[in-house]
Amino acid sequence: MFEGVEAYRELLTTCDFSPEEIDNELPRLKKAFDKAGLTVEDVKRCRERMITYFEADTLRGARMALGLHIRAFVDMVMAGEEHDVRIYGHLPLMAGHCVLGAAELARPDAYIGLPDLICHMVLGAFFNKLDPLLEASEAWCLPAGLAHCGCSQAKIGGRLTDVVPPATLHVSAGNYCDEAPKVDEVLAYHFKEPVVWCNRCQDESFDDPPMDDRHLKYFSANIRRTKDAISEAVGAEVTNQMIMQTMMATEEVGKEFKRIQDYRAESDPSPISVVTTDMAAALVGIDMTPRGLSKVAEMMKVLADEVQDRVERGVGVVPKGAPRVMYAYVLPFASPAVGKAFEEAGLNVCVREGYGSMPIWSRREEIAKLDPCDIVAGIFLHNPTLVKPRWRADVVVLGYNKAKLDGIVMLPHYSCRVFGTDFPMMRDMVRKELGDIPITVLETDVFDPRYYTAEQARTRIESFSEMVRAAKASAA
Amino acid sequence: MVLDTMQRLTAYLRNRPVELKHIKDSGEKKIVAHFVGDYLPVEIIHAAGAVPLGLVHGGDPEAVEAAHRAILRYLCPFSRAQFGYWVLGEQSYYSLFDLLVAPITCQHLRRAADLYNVHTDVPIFRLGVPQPYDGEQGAQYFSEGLEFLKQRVEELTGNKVTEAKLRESIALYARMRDLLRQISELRKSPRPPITTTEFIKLNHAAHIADPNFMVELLDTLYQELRDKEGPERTGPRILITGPNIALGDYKVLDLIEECGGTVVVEDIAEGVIFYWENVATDGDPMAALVDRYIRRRPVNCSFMRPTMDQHFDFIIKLADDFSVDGIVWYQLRMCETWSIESFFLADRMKARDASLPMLKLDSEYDVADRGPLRTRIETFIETLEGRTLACSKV
Ligand code: SF4
Ligand code: SF4
Repeated sequence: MFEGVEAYRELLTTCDFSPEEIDNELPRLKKAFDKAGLTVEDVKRCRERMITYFEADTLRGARMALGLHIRAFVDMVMAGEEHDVRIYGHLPLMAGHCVLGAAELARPDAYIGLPDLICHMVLGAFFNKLDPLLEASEAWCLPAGLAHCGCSQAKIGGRLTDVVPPATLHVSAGNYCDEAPKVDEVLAYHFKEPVVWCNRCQDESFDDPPMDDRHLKYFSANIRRTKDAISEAVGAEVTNQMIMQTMMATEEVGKEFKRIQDYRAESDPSPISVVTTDMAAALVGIDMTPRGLSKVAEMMKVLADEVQDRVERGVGVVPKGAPRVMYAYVLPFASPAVGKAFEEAGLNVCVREGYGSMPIWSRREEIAKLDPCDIVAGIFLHNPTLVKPRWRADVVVLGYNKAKLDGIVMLPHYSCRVFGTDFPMMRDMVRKELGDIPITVLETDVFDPRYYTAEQARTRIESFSEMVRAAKASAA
Repeated sequence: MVLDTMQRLTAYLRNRPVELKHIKDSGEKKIVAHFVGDYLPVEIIHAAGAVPLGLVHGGDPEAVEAAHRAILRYLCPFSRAQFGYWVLGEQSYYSLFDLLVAPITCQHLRRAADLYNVHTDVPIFRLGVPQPYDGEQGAQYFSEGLEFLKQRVEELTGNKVTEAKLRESIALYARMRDLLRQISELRKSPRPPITTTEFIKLNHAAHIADPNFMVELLDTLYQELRDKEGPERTGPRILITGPNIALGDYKVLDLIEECGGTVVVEDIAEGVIFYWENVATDGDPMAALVDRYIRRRPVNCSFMRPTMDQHFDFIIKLADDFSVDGIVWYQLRMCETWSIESFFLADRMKARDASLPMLKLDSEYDVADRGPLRTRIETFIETLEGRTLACSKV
């Protein structure tokens, strides 16, 4: 055995590994952690953070979720040794998860994963040790000070430091921002690793309905091309049926997650921390294969049952009667303390942007007749958060009214021309509809903990909390 | 003579806002503005009898600052300024148009269009610009977009864009591009008869002026310049590359000249990219537009992907054709895609046995930039001068 083995064992116990699993997994895990430069001290700190921020001491579902993240990290680091074929999706992979995940059915021995998000969750949120990756990319082609997003920096840093092994194929999200697909071009240009770009043109009208046939066709053709490239890379066809099967697996997770979201939206006091909820939800993006999704669904069910139990017992993470606020759209992965700071300031961050909007699956019968690539395209183009600010603002207003909220927190992600720049416009549009309600636009960084810490954010969060309370009191 | 022609242009441009205001107020024609970047076939707008107006202004820190009320700072200063000028209300071109056409190129200009949607009553038309990677399917998408644009400007003006009218407009703009290229190539001479700043100003004017006026002026200018030699220049010859050099953003060009360099060619949207390739004047006119603007571009801007191979080879060829001694990469702060590309050009040159010194600069349109920029440019020119001298001794 190795020095500090007890710390590793404790960490894995905290992550709901059984004693047999610990014995089996320990050598692999140690090797992967060593490769990533994680020390015994890091392991100890990681465990503490899991308890401080993610309720690992009180919720088994949270522990299971943390364990799935850790397993995904080890699988990713070891993929270079363990798999001949490695297909990576990249953030922001907002479409085509199901296509990517379905590759597992075509080629069960291939590694399929989303290294960016895995690194952000495990190295960033849990270990607080993303800096070496960020710094490696800053010293190379993504210098500091020019607003290259931490997401892209970690991607390049992961390859430069060999934490992420070379890929057989990168699936690039050309459907959203400019930064990510351009950085993926670097993977092709410099690292000589093939990339398929899944593009869309963002020329939808600002005001009219979300999509028309033309946008759908163009995007779904891109998804089809992505599917073909994946088939070629895995050496077996990814069929429509496989995609449908993967979609169904995603839906199973979605059902359990919706239970948690509903409890959060409807219960007072709030039964689970927003930070824990987001950490568990991130797994849908991390392991999108049917095999992985079935484990995520199992975890989500345990977590949802525990949340239900808390609701029935009246247990909450913030005091009963706390002001209720919506957050739009992502809390910083890298600094879970920011999410916690809202709760520490006495706010119930109970719904996320998108709450109350019609889930695409409510149109299931209509959709079932379509080709799966059209469905994937349709799901994306029907998601207000991902398509255009006017629609986002409408959905925020809808959610605000439906959940009877007291305020809205908008979290522009520094350096993201998409997620960052929408918010001032959305604030102005929401104010036109709802009047002078408490809204804060709090700039943070989802991925890079160096620029915006919880301490910096805390003062603004506390002022916002006071503003919400005052508005609530005067309304009463 | 040359001076007269350039002065004639200056006088024309000084009066252009008044002329456009008159056109607008009298209802004589509609004014259709557009974001520049060379992804919009202005020929369609012209063929509909509207006045195409390229929004080419920039370089003004106040316009950037004015946009901050509505947008966060991590858009590039050019795109922030495109909305900031409207907020300030001091730049007449930005309050004159009846329709704004926004080719959806990079996210920054897309956001500038969104800002007009949220804060103004200006109607916006978005033109989808496919990635080069999307091949024929992308070209088809673009072609459909052009049909929609045609319908939109027809509705606006009440005029039909007939095939004959479109051919005429294509021929007019083709002539303009040919003339710009002819004038541009005069700078291959050791004693260029026109400076690059003057030349870029011609390109800016091409986005604002009436194209008939512009063609006549460029023709005159070309006749005047073709056999003329400029002053003797001993400093290094520079290629400037970057996303754009806006009307008003002449700081870097001026500093290079002040420090003794001669910019002999520009790889920018309001330069080479605009005039290097032309639209075919025969065949189906709409197909010819798709061909030129999507398939047969001299180079794709860096917000596209993949572009690096094509872009670098184009720069290397241009540098060779214009006998360049050094490259100034001038990008705008927060323009992420140009920033990424800049890192790889030097390696590419090495691989192509064409190593040229390169200076990378970026700007936020800030007045405080000037001092540090001057120091860096001076050092670069000195290095180049040393190199040129050493080469000439060999
Ligand atoms: S953070 Fe924004 S800019 Fe960066 S990859 Fe994600 S969507 Fe793109
Ligand atoms: S400078 Fe860059 S970011 Fe700005 S408009 Fe041009 S391409 Fe877009």
